[in-house]
Amino acid sequence: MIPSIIIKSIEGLNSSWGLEYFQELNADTRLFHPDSPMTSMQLVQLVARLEEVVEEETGQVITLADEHAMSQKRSPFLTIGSLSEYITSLLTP
Amino acid sequence: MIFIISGSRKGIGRELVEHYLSSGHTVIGCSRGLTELAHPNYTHFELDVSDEPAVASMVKKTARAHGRIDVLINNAGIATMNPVALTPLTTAKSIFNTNFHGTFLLSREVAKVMLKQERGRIINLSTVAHPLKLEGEALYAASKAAVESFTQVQARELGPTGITVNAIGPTPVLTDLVKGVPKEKMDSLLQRQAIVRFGSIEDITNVIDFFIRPTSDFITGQVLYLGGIS
Repeated sequence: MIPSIIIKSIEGLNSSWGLEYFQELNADTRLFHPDSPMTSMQLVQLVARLEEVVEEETGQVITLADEHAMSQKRSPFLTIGSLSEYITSLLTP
Repeated sequence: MIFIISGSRKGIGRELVEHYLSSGHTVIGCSRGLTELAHPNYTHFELDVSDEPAVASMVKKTARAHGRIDVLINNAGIATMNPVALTPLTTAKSIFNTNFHGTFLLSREVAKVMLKQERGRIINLSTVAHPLKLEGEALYAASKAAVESFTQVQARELGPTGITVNAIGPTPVLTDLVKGVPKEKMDSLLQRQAIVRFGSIEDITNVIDFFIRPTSDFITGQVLYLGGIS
C-alpha cells in the first residue's frame, strides 16, 4: 500500500513540477538523490503530502522528519523503495 | 484570515487573539492551560508547544477544519531573571523548549500547510533582550537569538514559495512576563531605547499587520525591533 501511496503522491505533485524524470515510477526511482532533479523544496512538498495521505489511509499520524534526510548514504528519501520502508517502520502494525 | 497564535492564554498572546478576533478573523490558539476566552471564531488547544505529536495534531486539525492557515504567530515564550551562574540546566532546557523548539515545531508543521497554498505569513516573537545583551536574561536572550537566526534561515528556505518569515522584537510591555522585574532595572532598560516608554499591544499589532499585508510579500527574513533599538 505504501509504495502506491508514494507513487500517487508524486504523480499528483508532478502535475505542477512538470518533471519528465518522474514519468515512470517504481521502487528504484531515485528521489532526493544526486541523480534526481528533485529539489529540497519539492521533497518538503512530498513529505507534507505523504503525511497527510498516510493519515487518511491508515488513521495514523506520522512525522517524516529524519536527521539523515540530507545524507546521501543513509537518507530514507533516496528512492521510493527506501522511503516506503521508512514509512512502514513508523506505522504501528 | 485563519490565524494560529501560540501562548494565547494570557499576556501579549491573549491581546493578539482579541485584536484579530475583533478584526473579523478566525483564531486558533494554544497554551499549556485552558482559557476562559469564549468566542465563536476562537478555538483553543491545551498543549505544550514543544510536544511534537500535539503540535502536529493541532496543525492538521486546523488545516482540515478551515482548509488553510494564513498566519502563524509564534508568541509562546517564557523567561526567568537569573545570572548564568545561578541558572539550573532544567531552567535552560525549559526556556529553549518553549521559546525555540516550540517555534521550530509550529513553523515546520504550519509551513507544510502553507506550501500547498503557496502563500502564508509566519511571525516570530523575539525580544530586545537579545540586542541589548541584558544581564540576568542570558538564557532568554539566547533562546530568542536562536529564534531570530531560525527566522532568517527559514525565510531563505521558503523564499520561492510565497511564504514569508519575519520577527518582531518588542520592548517591554506590561505583562506577567515583566511584572517580576524590579522597577529600577526596568527604568534603566527603558532608558536604553531611542523612545523611552513601555511598548503597547498596538505597537506590536502595527508591525504584525505590516508583515501580513498582501503587499508585504517581498519582505522576509527581517527582525524589527521596537523603540529604536537595533
